[in-house]
Amino acid sequence: MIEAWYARVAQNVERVMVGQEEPLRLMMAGVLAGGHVLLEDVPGTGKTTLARALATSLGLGFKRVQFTPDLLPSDLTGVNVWRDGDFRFVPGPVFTQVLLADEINRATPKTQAALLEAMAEGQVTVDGETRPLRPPFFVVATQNPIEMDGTFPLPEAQLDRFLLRLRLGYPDADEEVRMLERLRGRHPIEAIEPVSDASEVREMQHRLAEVRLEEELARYVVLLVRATRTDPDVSLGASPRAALALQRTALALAALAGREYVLPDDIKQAALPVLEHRIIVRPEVRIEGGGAATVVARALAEVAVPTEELG
Amino acid sequence: MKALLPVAAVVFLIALPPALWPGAFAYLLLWVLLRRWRGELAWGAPLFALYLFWGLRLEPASFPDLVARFAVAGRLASGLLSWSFAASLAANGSRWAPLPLFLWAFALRPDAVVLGLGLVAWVYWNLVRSSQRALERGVRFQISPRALLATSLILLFIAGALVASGWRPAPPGRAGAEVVSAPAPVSQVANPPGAGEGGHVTGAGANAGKKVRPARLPPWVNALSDYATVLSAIVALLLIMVLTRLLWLIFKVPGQRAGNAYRALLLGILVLSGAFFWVLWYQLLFRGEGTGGGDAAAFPATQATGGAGASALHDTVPRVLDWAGWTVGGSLVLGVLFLLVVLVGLGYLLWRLSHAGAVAPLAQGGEVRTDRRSAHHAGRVRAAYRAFLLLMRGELPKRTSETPQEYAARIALRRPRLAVAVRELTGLYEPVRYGGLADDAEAARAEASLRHIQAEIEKSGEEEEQP
Repeated sequence: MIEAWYARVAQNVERVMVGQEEPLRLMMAGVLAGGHVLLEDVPGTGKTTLARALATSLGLGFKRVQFTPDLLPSDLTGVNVWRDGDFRFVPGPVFTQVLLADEINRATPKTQAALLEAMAEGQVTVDGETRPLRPPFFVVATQNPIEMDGTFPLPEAQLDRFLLRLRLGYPDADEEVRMLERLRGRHPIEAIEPVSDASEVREMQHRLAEVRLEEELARYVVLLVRATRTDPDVSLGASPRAALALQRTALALAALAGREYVLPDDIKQAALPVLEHRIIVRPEVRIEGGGAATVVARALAEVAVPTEELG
Repeated sequence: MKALLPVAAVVFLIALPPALWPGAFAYLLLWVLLRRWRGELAWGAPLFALYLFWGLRLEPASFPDLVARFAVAGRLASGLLSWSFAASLAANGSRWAPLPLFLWAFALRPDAVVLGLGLVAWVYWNLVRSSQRALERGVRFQISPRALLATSLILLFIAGALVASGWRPAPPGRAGAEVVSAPAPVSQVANPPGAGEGGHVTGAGANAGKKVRPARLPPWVNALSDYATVLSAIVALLLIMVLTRLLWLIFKVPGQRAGNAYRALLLGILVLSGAFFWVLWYQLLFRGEGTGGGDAAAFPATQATGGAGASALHDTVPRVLDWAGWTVGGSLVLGVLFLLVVLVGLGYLLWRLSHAGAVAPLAQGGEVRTDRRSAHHAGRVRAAYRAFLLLMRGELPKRTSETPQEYAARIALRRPRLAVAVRELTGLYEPVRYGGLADDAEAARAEASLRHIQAEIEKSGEEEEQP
């Protein structure tokens, strides 16, 4: 059922996006797992288009906020205004279902932190009053890894709130040609129609609980995460929340593949997008060109996959 | 299904003579506990034990009686045969699996109670069988509140009708009551025991035509001792459960489904435990409680040769001491039983270790279907994959950090002729290893893929040997 739903949504999104099947699959896994996604890539790779096409296809409310240094937390969450002799709450753009936080690292840490409660708790507190957000609530944040001047890198606590960090990358030559052909006239994003709705998304999220994860695979997840903590190149390894995120993403990937059980391959596929942004490597390793991706790859190459024991 | 269990329990209790109620409670408890382990026929263990002694008069003095021993041995043998037949039917997914067991019970006690129980068991078996099959197809079950309400109303209506018609459950045979028992079909002994001295109705017509005197002890003492014996019997039962659970933990092979040998061992333990429990229970109530339902017994009741003496002895000894003594004795016997079971288990463990290197040839049949069918066939698939890993260990071993798919991809690159068979075997193995399901066809395909891989490897070995 989830597989069919995914195929329907993916087919719709692919009318707009060319050659981004893998990021789309992972983003759908993020939606299914109820997590948030950080898209990190250079400008012009289709981050905004992908987020918008996904929101439209899923039939969810969509709002886009361009993060700038002068953006205030209240610009995001909303504000109480005096009107007709009383304070009335004017909701900010966070009161939606898919929020595209474009160039999130351009806003000040205070504004970035305002997103924290919304992302973690699914609610917003303004002037001491807490207001729930309408589920499903899904944040897609983008950031440019090249242009670092005038930016505020996301703090670790906030990075940890993102279930996945994805890189879209450039399409290959054939895909780029196909894209040019498709976009000669009107941009197809204007013509894209919803193929799902919020209740269906919620139902699919609930169905994720039916996917089976063998106990030994859960142990495999834990061992992978622990391996990142003991790696000599790492100054801060992945947290227990990372283990939860890895498990949930693996469950979602299995469900998207139409399976009722998780394979070790699901966990391996999820490992890099889930763990990479949660690991901080030592500065000297970074200078030498090493990174968190190497640490994750090393963990994957070292931890034994549970299969059959030959003795 | 679970919601109906209490209703079934009540019906079951009403249908049985009151003397068997404590045993029936224990039976239900055992059944509820065992069905969570393995096997749809696990419920047969206590039932089997219950009917094993149906109509027989069991008391210490009757044990030397050769006829009684033959009777028990004959019932044990025929019962085990019936059970084996039922298990083989279950292994083939037959809808008639519980029938042999209940036919056996019906032969011992041809009455409506057994017939009703058999019918309930048959319906239950078929419901489980159908639901398992449906679950394997991905169907989801939900208890409809309307259906539940309708069932409850029907049951209430039946109960109301029974009450209105003046129907009563089987008459109580408690101490202090003056009861005339049914005529004996056969009495083995000229001098029947003075079972009436205890004030209980005993086995098949043991006191034919005699008036039974009330107990000498005050009724409340008698009643208290009865409850105490039941309590000690339940303690013994729990002890058996703990022992069986311990064995399960000791002999469970980590990460693997139970094989046939293990299942046979478990079944043996269940039979022994069930039978032993019932022996103990009847011993505790040997004055006739529990055997009194034999008024319709087809099997001739046997009597102790020294019944009168034994009875007199028991009249003089307070029953409160009786049950305490039997509990201590029972514990000792339990210890011996446990030792025996541990020895058998150790033997099995040694046998298993001695076969660890080889691919265990899994026996065909002999185990039940539905979820166990899946476990059995899953075991076959896993055994095939394990054999494949052993085959490849010399030439292209699997890395520990490789997933089955990654390994299959590497083999496809290095040994393209094996690619298709390896991919198929991997595709069959993954749902079993990480999803836990397989059917006979899939297991057969996995074994065929393994044979294909073996043949390819042998062929390539021969080609390499040729100049």
